[in-house]
Amino acid sequence: MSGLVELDGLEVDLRVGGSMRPVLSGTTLQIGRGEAVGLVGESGSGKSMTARSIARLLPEGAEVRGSIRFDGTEVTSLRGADLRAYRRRIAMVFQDPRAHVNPVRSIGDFLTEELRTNEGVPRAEAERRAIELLDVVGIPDGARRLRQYPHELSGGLLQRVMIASALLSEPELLLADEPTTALDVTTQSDVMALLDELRRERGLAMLFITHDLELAGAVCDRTAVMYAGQIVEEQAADALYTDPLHPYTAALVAARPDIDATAARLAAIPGRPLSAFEAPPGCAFADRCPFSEDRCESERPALMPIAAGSSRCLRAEELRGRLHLTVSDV
Amino acid sequence: MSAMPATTPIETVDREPSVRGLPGLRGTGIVGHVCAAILALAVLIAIVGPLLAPYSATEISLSNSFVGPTGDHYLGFTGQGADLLSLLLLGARSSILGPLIVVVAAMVLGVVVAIISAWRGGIVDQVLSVIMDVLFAFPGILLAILAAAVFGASLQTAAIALAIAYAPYIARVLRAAAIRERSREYIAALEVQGFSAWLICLRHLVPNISGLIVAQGTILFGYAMVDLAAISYIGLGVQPPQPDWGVMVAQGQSGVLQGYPAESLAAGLCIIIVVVAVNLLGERLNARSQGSAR
Ligand SMILES: Nc1ncnc2c1ncn2[C@@H]1O[C@H](COP(=O)(O)OP(=O)(O)O)[C@@H](O)[C@H]1O
Ligand SMILES: [Mg+2]
Repeated sequence: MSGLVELDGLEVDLRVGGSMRPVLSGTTLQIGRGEAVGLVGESGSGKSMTARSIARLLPEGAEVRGSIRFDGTEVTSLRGADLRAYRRRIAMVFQDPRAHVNPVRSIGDFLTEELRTNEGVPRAEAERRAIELLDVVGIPDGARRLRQYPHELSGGLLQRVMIASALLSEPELLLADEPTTALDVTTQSDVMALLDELRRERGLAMLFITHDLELAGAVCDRTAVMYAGQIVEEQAADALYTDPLHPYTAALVAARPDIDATAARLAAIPGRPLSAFEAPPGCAFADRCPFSEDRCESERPALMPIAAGSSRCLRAEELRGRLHLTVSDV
Repeated sequence: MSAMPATTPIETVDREPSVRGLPGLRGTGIVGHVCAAILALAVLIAIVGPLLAPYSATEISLSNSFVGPTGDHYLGFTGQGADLLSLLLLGARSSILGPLIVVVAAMVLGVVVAIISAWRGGIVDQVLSVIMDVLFAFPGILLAILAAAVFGASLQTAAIALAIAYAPYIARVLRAAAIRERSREYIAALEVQGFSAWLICLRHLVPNISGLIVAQGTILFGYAMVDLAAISYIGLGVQPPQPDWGVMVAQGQSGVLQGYPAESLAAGLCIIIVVVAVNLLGERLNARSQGSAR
């Protein structure tokens, strides 16, 4: 698979009060054409900031170092018309669909604006295409829906509209930031199945952000695990459970609610998740890690290839194969 | 073709019932509607007033000076012997048009500055804010007097000077609203869709703060009307014999001293009625726009 997106040592500092606070500290990640990559981690680990960096949606005054390449072009320095042209090749689906649509414009306006403005498609033709796509995302009565307003639609329905909007411009990359988290449980799986199916059909690459390891495993080719603004492990999605390469991943696997087990097996990870700006000089996970040694406190590990993936753990090699067994007993 | 898992029935949220009232005036109550009707009447008179006026402003006969109402002259005569009712009808045009120019010019300036400040932020915002603060320090009337001294006294000069003096006030109020709107997530979503900042502002941001824009413009109209009348009163705005309510208040002054206050009183009353109506309506529109911003 050729690389479509390449993040290389991405560092992002945001302005908080008068000072700069790191939120990403050396994020490295590749997404191939048509490939789905999951990005998992506890809240505050920097998943959204990674996606927003790719979409160039960082808050005002953000400082970015390192590189983001899309189809070989450096994205971090794009401006004006080039930036707009790049953004038309990507699409983003957000956690809260209601917040991401202009509340006073009709669904029809929302869905057809891009076609009419950026591609000069006449209104009637744009509406025809919108209705067609609404049908594809499971909204059969499109003509009526086009005349409705966002507040008239349920969250699940609105998220389908957002997915339709994302597909309408035929992007090459879809950034999906917890697209089902805000929906009620019954619609979550429907929307997820739809997103997965449409993405595969269209050969669309996807960065899928979730805190649900299992969900990432179900819809993604590879999964990257994020902690304190860094990728700590990255490998094939299904191998993550059976052969975790980083103690944090193993802990996440152990902590997830197990529907098979009769008793809840919620082995909560001790301590609280750190944000990038709180990370100590050594390994960011060291103070919560059952395997940490003295050198973990002082030496910051790099993301090293191991097996078919990579891990940011000094002891990755020696712990290999023991992690998923031991963590749950700790 | 879409092999979807069985979907749960798609529910539709009911549209919330709309508050009663004319479109555009919803939620302003009876007072808002009455004020709007008064203003509509004032604007109508400004447009067709010259057609309604039974006499012209130049049909003067000093022998009629301060003569009270007669059969054909319902409000009597001014000190210079012109028909008072005709003067009021003729004066409506410049008295309403003047503030309108001020409002439109100040709003355009203020909105543009506010949007640029909110969108660009950082140093651009800081520089614009400093410029606005400096302009803010000049009272409108002072700026109009300066402008009259440099460019000659006329309604246009006074209106443009007032517009420049008011623009910072508008910019300041709208900047805060524009920053709030700009930080809303749907704007970010539009940015990712690849729309230009210009289009997003024009099609989404400005329309979404239009409630506040209209409210501020309405309130400003009242201020502009009083200020322009004052400027005309001191002879630096509308020049006689062009009829104008502000000029009439000034010219009627000699009559007031002689016990014939009709001209000043009638013109002053016209100004007060329009200003009060516009302020009451503006306040209600403003409250409504703040309410809808949540
Ligand atoms: N606008 C902001 N200004 C400053 N810090 C922020 C801002 N948004 C998020 N952060 C911080 O950046 C870190 C990463 O946030 P985020 O990417 O949203 O996490 P996630 O999506 O993984 O939950 C967090 O520590 C958060 O507090
Ligand atoms: Mg997030």
